[in-house]
Amino acid sequence: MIHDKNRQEYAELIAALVDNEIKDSRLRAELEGLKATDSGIKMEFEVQAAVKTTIKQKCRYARCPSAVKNRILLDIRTGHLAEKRTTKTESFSLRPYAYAAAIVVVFITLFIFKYTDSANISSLPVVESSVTFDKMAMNNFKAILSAKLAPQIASSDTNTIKSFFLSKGLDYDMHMICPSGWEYVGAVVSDDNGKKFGHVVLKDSQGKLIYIFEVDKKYFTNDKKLDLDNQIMSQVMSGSCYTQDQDDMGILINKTGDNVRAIVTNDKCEKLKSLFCGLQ
Amino acid sequence: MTKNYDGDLYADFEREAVHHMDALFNFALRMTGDSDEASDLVQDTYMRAFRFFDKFEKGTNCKAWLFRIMKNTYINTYRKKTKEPEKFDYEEVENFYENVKPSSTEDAHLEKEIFDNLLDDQVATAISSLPEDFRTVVILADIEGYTYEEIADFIDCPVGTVRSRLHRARKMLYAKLYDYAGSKGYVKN
Repeated sequence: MIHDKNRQEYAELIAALVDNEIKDSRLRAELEGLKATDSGIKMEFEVQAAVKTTIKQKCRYARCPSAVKNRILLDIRTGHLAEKRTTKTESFSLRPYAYAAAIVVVFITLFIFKYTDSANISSLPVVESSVTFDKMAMNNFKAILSAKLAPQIASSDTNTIKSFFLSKGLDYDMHMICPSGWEYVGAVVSDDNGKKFGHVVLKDSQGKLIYIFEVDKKYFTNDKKLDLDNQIMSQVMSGSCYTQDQDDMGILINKTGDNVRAIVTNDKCEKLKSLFCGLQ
Repeated sequence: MTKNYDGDLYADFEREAVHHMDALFNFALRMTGDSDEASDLVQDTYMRAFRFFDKFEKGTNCKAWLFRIMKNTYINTYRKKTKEPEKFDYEEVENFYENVKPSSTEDAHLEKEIFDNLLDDQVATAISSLPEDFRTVVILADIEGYTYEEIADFIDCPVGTVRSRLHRARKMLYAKLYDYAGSKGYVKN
């Protein structure tokens, strides 16, 4: 017979019995005994067990959708790298050898010096200056995905990014076209011995990224700063879009005004086609 | 106590915290009752966690740390936006319990059959209607499957409190589910 004063305590312990949380064997035996002899305690046990079982059966475990995961990781990564850039700016200015001749080397070292520890520099793949425009864009995009590169300015505002390009001395206008459902993450101006090039990064709500490397076409012709396969260049100059899927990435190259741009995404190139072909 | 990390903070964070995202989302979904709200809550939690990751002591329970951040984020931000759960009069629950006791004691096995007929949504709604402290322990114990000790660590309270809240929460749910079952004709009056 349980004294009323203790009934509530025993009732609570019954919940623990149902959950297999009673470690003391004597207490466990006592509770089992009460369950067998006391109708009130038995009822407590049945109620606790019935509800627990019902919840287990009826409430399925919901996993975080991959789009949400991607979005979160992207936001953390871009925020993190932008922060690192700010704190590393001073040390970067003390490293004159960062200004290598080739644009890709400059572009990547610029980021690496700014955003990562110096220990990581030696682990970088060597990028030859002869790498073509499309390959440069893909390499840069891979570096963005692996969190080695990030925008120098983090902003979703078109005018802020335009002002940034202006302040960095870009000698051509970037065609800032942000497709519906996408927003800017930020931008970069890379510097190859005084030649400035513009890069922007966009994201959508599904965690997909778009990276755009856009340059004035004169850099392919007049001073041959950049290189692109002749066939691709002819196709682009005729107003067509060149597209290719490679390594889970899609790339699109086309002309926009007097500029040529390489657009890379972690999606199929068909996606880029629908967003950027015809938007000239 | 703070811990300085060698190497890249992001890589450490990814290794320690990212694989708990499913558990946190599941908890967030049950707390908010809305998938979009849950996504936002998980995102806010992870952004905050990353911001303060240098304060996290390596080797301690990262999941518990994340749950505490989520709970605070929920309290500070989302609880204000979401609909307040209906007030539960526990005395009423006890009265109900006393009334159903005599007949049900003999037919306790029938409870399971009665509740089997309930829809998933009805059970989810019943959980959503619990007061927050009670809902939290039910979600963590019966959906996520954590031990009392883990739950106590997550919500920063003694194990005895977890046990007491869980006991009461299930009784409240029992009353609620019994009502649902009655309204659907699964219970003979």
